[in-house]
Amino acid sequence: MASHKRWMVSRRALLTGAGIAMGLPYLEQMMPVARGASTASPLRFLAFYCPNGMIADAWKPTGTGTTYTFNRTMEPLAPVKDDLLVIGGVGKQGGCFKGATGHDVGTGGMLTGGYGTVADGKLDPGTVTIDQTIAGVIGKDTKLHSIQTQVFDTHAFSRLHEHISWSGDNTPLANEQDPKALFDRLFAGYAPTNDAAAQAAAAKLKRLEGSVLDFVSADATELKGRLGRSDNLKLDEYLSGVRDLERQLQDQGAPSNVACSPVAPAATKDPQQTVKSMLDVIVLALQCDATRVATFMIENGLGDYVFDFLGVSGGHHSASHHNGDATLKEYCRVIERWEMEQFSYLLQKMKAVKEPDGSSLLDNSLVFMTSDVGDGMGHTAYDLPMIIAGKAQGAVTTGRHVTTISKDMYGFDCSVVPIGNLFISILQTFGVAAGTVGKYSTGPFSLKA
Amino acid sequence: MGDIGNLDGVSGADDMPGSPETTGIPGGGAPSTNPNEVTSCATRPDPGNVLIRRLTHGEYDNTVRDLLGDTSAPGQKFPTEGNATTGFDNEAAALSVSPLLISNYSDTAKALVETLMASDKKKLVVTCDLATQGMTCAQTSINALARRAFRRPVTDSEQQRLTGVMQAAVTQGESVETGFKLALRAVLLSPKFLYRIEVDADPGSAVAHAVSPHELATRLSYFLWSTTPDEALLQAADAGTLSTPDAVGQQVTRMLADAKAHGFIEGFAGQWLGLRNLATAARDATKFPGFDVATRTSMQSETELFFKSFLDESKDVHDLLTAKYTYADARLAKLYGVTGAPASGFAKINLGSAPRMGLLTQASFLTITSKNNGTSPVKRGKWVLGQLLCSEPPPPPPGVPPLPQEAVPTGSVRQKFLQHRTGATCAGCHSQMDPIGFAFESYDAVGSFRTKDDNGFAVDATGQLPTGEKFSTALELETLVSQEPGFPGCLTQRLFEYAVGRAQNPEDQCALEGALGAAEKQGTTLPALVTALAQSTPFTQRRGEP
Repeated sequence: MASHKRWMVSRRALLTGAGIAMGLPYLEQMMPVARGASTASPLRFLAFYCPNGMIADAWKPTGTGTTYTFNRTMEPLAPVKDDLLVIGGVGKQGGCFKGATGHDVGTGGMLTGGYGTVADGKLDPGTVTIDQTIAGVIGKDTKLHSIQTQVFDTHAFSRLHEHISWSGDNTPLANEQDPKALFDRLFAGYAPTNDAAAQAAAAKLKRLEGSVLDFVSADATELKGRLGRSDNLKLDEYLSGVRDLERQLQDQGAPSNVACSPVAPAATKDPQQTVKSMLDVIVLALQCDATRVATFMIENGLGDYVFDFLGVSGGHHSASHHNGDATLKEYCRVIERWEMEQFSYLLQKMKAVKEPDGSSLLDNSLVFMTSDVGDGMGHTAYDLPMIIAGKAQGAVTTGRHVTTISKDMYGFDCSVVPIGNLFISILQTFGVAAGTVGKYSTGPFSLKA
Repeated sequence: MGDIGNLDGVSGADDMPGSPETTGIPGGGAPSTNPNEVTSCATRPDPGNVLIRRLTHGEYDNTVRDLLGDTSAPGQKFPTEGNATTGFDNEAAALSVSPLLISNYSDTAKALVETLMASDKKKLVVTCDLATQGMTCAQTSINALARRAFRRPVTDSEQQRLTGVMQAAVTQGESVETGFKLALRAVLLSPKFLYRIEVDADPGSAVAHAVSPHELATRLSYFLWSTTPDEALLQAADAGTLSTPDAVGQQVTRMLADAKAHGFIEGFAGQWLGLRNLATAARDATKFPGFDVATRTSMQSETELFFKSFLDESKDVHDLLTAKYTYADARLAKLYGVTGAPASGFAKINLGSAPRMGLLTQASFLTITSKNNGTSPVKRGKWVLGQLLCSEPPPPPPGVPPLPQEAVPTGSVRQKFLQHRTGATCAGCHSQMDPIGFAFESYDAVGSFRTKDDNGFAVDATGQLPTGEKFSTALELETLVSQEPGFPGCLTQRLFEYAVGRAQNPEDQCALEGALGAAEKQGTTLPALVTALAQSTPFTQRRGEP
């Protein structure tokens, strides 16, 4: 395995580290990995998922451009309003589209330009979700290639309900639901570079555990020569997991940046605190450059969590099929506003993290928030609720509300911009030149004013 | 397989997945009688290609229980998964692996090994003294464990590499025991343990061939026990005496009589009959006070015991819908208005004149097909069509408006649902689903008998199937469904999907017909059906993937 090149390795850490002498070959260790030879901060990508759509009368902002005002649901985002690009009107398809979708394909296919199929629980053939395409570019040298997280799990039934991140059309990536377990994956074996004893212990662990990984890799390689094509795809999934373990083992060194001091989240059974702890660990992972790509699901698709701490009775999905019932509809609005409070908490934390070059973590990120459907009652797949947060190092002009919603010949709302267009532009931001994303995209969607 | 918890009573768009191969009229799931298919099957049987199968989380737990004596069920903390085509969690194509799961496997292997070596269960794996006998003992122990973990003899190369892991630790100044622990972790993280591997002489050839004796032992064991083969199966495979139909039949009989057959009841019936969904079923506490974990557990136990009686007593599968007995504890006896339940635990209860009979009036079915605040005739009808007749209707088209909601109901649920049948868009499917569901309106969302529905109007449980047959109660409907030729055929299909870990192909129809035919000669008992499937071509043979 190639030695790790780490962003944010301070000169002092190198000089005082475990026997590492300052010399020309090591200069490259102080250079950012994914962004060429400059000291600029790396770009990060996050996806933030809220199930069951948003009640439009509380979601939709008033006005467009830079002078728009929030409605009730987005009010908690006021502290980061200048960092948002609120997008209305985008649908799964364009061409004055006003179709519906299920929570399964809406969720599983959220980060794709297509849907996936209900019958076999797969994405459209050949599809990789955009977070994974991005991780393929910017996740190569971090401790974890990407992380997938979720908080509330009400056990839906299709694998499409359960996952928004897929490394292949038949390979959903499981969500970590325990903030402490995620922390351990990111920071276990933490060995400060100036602690020789810890470094020696880490080196020994690497040798011993490395023999386990060598054994199982050899087993997989031996099998690959004897199995058929589809079996080998299954083994590839296995091997990519083992490679992640190898990277974690190799990368026991501490993030040297003084701003990054990993502290494990306190154990909690409180649901609201669990959400905050998970978001805290995600921010820590990005701040420490342990990963640059993360996904977060508040609930799984078809999420029917009972938000009793908000004074709501009955499940979220059940309420979303309110049939016009005023109480149930209000439950949805209360839950949705709370979701935006969590989103705001994440963004404010990211904004507060200062990178070595003085910019904020949020400035160096593109955070994409949406839902599986537009309106939960009708399962609409057009006019999806959508926000991009963070300037992505200037690729996104924030502080705006744009909407592209159109009307059909009868005067009903329809979407003319397919979500694939947005994804073309997001991928471009991360250096991926994609001409199309999914079968409905028609061209890039400008993220700049 | 139907997506039980996923059905909205009204529109719901494509949250209602219909699998193309099972869409059709009631009875459409019965094996085809197309003579051409039968002929081609007889002349050139195609057992199909089954992918390597990762252990399900439940199988993982059972397997480490049997290998290491560890009953901590670590797999329950593995990431949530969803189902794909068959609705069973053991479907090979859907059993994927993500980096998080590999990380969980690695951490769990380490924890299992540390726990084992610090407990008296250590002697299950180490039968000599590592401290005094050193590497000789370590090699003997790890090779024996690897045989059981890989479910076949261990190759020389594997033995050498396991020794290599242990030797490397010793070379670095560690004890033999530390080396042994690392090798044990390597076995528990190996793809040869985590997946059920089957190998073709030519992976690119479509020519059918028998699976190896050890592969067959493994298939039988995970089908009927949801766990790793025991020593009797492994030794029969070692001796080459497992692979005849008679030998398979004897093993099935032996295995179904073993306590580990609970793995089949929990795995197959638990998913076919939706019993696993009870764990997350929620009810409005004001309308259904007392609907707690204990109640849901009782409901699950009842149906498991009922299903078990069909295995233990070799009963005709038709009686699954018509048996006039059940298993009840005090809680369920009260719900059903019957007597004879013991103060604690369950007993077989004669249902007498109570309005109960067979699976579909058990509280488990009536609950998992209901909503938080009331019944759903559509869910119930769809469940019967999908799970019992393999003819689940397709999902509604996009953009179907919901039924209007009334603050104060002006008619029965049934009357309101008639709107489903007025437009051609809805009527095609709802004329099949709704009448079946209406028959069960006599039972509320937790299975209590009632005479007034959720809207407070009198229940009318009468109806007519699309085939013209009439019924006036749920019990009469159950009798009609039990007489549908599609019912035993559908059960055969569900068992098949669970047994081989893949969806049914057209090529499988003759094998399914053959299995059902063989079972019918023995009174269509559940054990006969299971045995016939275990002896069938798709179960005993395989082919590569051209």
